[in-house]
Amino acid sequence: MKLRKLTDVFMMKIMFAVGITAGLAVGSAAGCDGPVLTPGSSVNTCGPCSTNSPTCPGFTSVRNDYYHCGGSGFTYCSQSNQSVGQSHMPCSTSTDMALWTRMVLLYQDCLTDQKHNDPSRTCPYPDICVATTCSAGTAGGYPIVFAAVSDLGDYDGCMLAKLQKSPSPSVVELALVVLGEHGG
Amino acid sequence: MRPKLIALAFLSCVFCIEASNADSRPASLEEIQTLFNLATVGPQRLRVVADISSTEPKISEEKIAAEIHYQNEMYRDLGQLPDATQRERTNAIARSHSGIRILHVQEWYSGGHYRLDQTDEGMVSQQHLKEHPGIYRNSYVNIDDPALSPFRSFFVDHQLRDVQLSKTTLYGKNDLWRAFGLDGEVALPLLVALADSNSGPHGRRATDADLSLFKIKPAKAARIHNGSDEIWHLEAITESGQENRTRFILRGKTLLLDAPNEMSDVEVVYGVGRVGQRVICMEASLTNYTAHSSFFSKRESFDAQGFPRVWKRTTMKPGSPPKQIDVVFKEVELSPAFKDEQVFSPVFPTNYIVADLTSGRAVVLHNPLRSIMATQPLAHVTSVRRVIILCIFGLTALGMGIALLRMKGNKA
Repeated sequence: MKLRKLTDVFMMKIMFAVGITAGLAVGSAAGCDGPVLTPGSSVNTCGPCSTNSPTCPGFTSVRNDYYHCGGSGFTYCSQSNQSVGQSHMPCSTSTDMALWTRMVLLYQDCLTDQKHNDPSRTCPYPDICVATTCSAGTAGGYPIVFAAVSDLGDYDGCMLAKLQKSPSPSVVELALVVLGEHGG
Repeated sequence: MRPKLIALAFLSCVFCIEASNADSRPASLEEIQTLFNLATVGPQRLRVVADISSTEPKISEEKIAAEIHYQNEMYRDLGQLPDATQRERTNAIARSHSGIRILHVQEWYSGGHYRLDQTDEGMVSQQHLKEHPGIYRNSYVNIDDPALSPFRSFFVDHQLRDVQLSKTTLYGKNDLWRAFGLDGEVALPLLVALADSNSGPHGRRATDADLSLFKIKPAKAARIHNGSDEIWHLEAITESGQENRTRFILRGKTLLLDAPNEMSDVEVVYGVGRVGQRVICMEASLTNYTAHSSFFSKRESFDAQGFPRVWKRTTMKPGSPPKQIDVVFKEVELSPAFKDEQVFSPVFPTNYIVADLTSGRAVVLHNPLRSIMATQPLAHVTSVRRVIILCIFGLTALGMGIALLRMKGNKA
């Protein structure tokens, strides 16, 4: 009878340990939902090319994707104010020299023909915007400063070095404690 | 306005002081061909490391306030930041427009591919520069090659470990390969004066890579040589005291890059010399007498390959401050050995955030945090859990075995 009681107690201990461990294992995964990712965005208003200079009006503003402190599953999070994007970057104006040269050559030929052969021929100015590309700029503009997680180190995910205490040692310790206390 | 005109006159006379006693003569046909060859140097496969500095007006307090207002309108969360952060935002904007902009760049050119690795000093703090020496903060890559990727370009912020891909955007290039030939501004009048309009690429849109396909028209060269051309006049001056250095002055009328809607009276001066076997344009200037604008370019400190290690350009236009861009080359690798796939393909470390920004709103394709939790738990966490689970199953089996034995013992 006494032995049976002992067996029952032992079984209960094991069941308890299984429950605790499973709960912690699930909790350690579901609980780590930080830091929080802020998705980026961009505004590109470059172009169309203006024929007078030529210049590309407009600008590019870009905000990066980045993590900021938030969520749960960690006890410590380090973030600092830093540039997470760039606003009002001037557009890049690039005129293709080979194409523009060809267009000007044809215009000069037209003028020559008009002068020597056909005075009624009209020679419209070539459109430089045909040879000009408006692209997103890579420099200039102004920094967009925001608090973002810094110094990620070589870790990622739930093992972000400075962001959390790993749940794994706690699971082991708690399981051992549970088994130890009830296993007396 | 007056200081600008004085500066314009000064730049126009940079060459005339040096060779004021020299005699001018018609350029020979060989010299004309040499000049034309310089104008048709196109982009080539290249890797360079350089510092680019440019002057710009200092930002005013009003402009800082306007920029803060714009950012707050665009990104609502910025306006809700604490005061200390607001001060830091203001300081960062002021620092980014302090009067001189310095870019540390590494550029890769290969066909239509382009990669720019860059740290813009205006975008980072001095502390960041100290803590990350020799590491570029950003990369801008034009792929524009369906064989490599469906995306046309991507941008990387290495500090934030963030990649933004785009199927539409292309980034502007610095075109540092032009240090090898002539600046576009001064190449154009030569090309227009001498090129055969039937040469160049046919049946497709011409690009800078096609510059070398332009051929000189012998009749045009002959007319310019004997002084009978109706539009163009070219003279040569052998500079005294400087071996192998000749100054060419081209005068004429054409449509220019900065004044494409009117025929401009133009004077272009080319200072041409030799470094080893290579013909080099050391200095060049363009004066547009119609638009009252000017451009000046100077190349210095040539290496053994004939590549200038210093390249300075100044543009002056009425109504705007002079714009100066200086490039100091630290490394120049002609015909480099890199593989295009390694430099231009959108392949990133697994701990980088990757998003598609084609629509303007980021569609996150890879979030290291979530993907690791959902699909790929870290190795040592898994192993610890496995050990625990095995132990528990082992103990359970042991317990049940003991219980069964005890029950049998009781029955017996």
